Amino acid sequence: MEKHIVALREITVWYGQQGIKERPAVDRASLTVAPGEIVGLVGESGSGKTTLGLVAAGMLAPDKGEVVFDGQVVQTGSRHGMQVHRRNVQMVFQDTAGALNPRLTIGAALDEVLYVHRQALAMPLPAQRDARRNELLDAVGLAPDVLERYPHALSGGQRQRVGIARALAVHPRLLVADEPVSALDVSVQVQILNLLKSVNERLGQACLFVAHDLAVVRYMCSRAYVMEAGQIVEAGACEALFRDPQHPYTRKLLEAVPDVEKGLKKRNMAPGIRVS
Amino acid sequence: MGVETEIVRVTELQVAFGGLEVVHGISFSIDTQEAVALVGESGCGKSVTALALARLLPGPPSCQVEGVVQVAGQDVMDLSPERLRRLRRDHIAYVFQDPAAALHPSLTIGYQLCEALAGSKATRRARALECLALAGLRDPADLLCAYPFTLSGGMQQRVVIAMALAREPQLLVADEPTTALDVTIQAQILDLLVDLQRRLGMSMLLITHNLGLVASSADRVCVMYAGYLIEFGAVEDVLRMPAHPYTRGLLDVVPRMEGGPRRLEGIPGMVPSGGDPLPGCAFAPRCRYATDLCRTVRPALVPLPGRQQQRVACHYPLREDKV
Repeated sequence: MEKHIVALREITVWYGQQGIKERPAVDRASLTVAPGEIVGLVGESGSGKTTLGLVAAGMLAPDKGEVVFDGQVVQTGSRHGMQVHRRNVQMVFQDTAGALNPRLTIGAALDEVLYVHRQALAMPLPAQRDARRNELLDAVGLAPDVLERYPHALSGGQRQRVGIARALAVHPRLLVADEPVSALDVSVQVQILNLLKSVNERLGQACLFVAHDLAVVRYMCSRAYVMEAGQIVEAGACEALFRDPQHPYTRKLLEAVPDVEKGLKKRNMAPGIRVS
Repeated sequence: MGVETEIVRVTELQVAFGGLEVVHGISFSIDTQEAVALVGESGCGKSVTALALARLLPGPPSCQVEGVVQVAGQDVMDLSPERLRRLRRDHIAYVFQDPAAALHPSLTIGYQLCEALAGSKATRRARALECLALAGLRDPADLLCAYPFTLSGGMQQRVVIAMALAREPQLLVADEPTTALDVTIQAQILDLLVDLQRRLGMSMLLITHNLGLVASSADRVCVMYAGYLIEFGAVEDVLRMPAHPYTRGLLDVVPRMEGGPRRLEGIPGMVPSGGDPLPGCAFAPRCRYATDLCRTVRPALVPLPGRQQQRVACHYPLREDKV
């Protein structure tokens, strides 16, 4: 059998009381991520991609199905089982301001993680944790002076770098990145994407990359899953998936990607009544 | 209506919030029936510019606006409150980014839509239905008694567009109209806007940070950076042969669907947060071609040699063809 860092099998999640909603948020979805691999999960809002990401990150227990991490079935029903799982998985969020406590300096936010996990990290001494903190900042390309600052004093891109540093603090083996760049300015998006890529190459942790932008997913990932209405409708290597989409929904998503070249072609075909 | 071909002419518009200048003297025009895109990243002053067109910015002391803004032949800055109200009613309509915030949550769609209309109840209702149908909404009669929260984001934005069309404006200002929506809906809403703009013969100012959207929808494009207009020209010229390194950078940072995967370099650094205007070109700190000249002398927006329609504010405009 192929080796996976995480495998989600037949995951079903209902929000609210089962049966009240017409359909589950995630409906028998399965996916796998190999060690060191960046896998994309795409779909529109409401498709269940974030919910499935939360299940992979151990932040949400599925109603049905199992989460297998590194060959071990995660006890999603038990608090302890989820805690063990969460140590190995970290998340990077879309809303960079919401992901950080506004009343903690960046230094304090990073300290908190390292302190909570001091035993697992074998860092009982504050000095060790300070060293690790600086190492983390360096890894995400931030200057040490941000340690004293509060989240509101940083730009969105800088905050996302902090978010990534915090996620990396505990040496996760899987990173779940939920729309990590869609709230950022375009010129900064690529910086963060490249950072995630280089971190993946250097540290070798796997990444489940949740996004709605197919062009970004194609840039980041080797493989991708396409979700619609809670179900995974298509999966495969990005190149094949985007060159020759099989499912109509994938095609629809592809057509919707705004692209300069495509747009210029389209405008020439449109019967515009351009004056002057 | 006169015979003038320009619906909007902005001359040396400056906007400052509490002494902090955010728009530094920009000038541009929009012809009748033309779609102009205003492109830039957050904080570059594009929304502020759009609001200035209908004098929607707060007055002094919190905000100082200077320069000349002419819309439909009227000097917006000098209008009496009554004339200003009429201008806003008859000539300009806005579509904003967040449709949920643009609609009143506790009034029905029908009430909000009819509010701006004149005439008997029956004529207003008929016009409201017509607008909803124009905005591509099915079963408009049912929608009239619906509340905004029962609609999806895409439908809400269509309602907002219907409201914008109600008074048959000459100018539609769409400020990031698709940013809050899903990708597939995004394309639909943009197509709708472009179709309506052409069919109804409106002018449109489309504000966006997405050059892919600009390519399919606008006739001319203004690129803004840190409160300056840095490039201006026909969409095909600017997107195919960008002359400003920032415009080129914006084109290069977008992952593409066509062509093989390649590494994107991105633009180093970040958008200046305003406050300390640099003596030279605002983009110089992030520009790889910057020289001492760029850092000390601010380049003016001038026509490119050989390409009169394209203007660029750069000491060393890029020459090679691109895209």
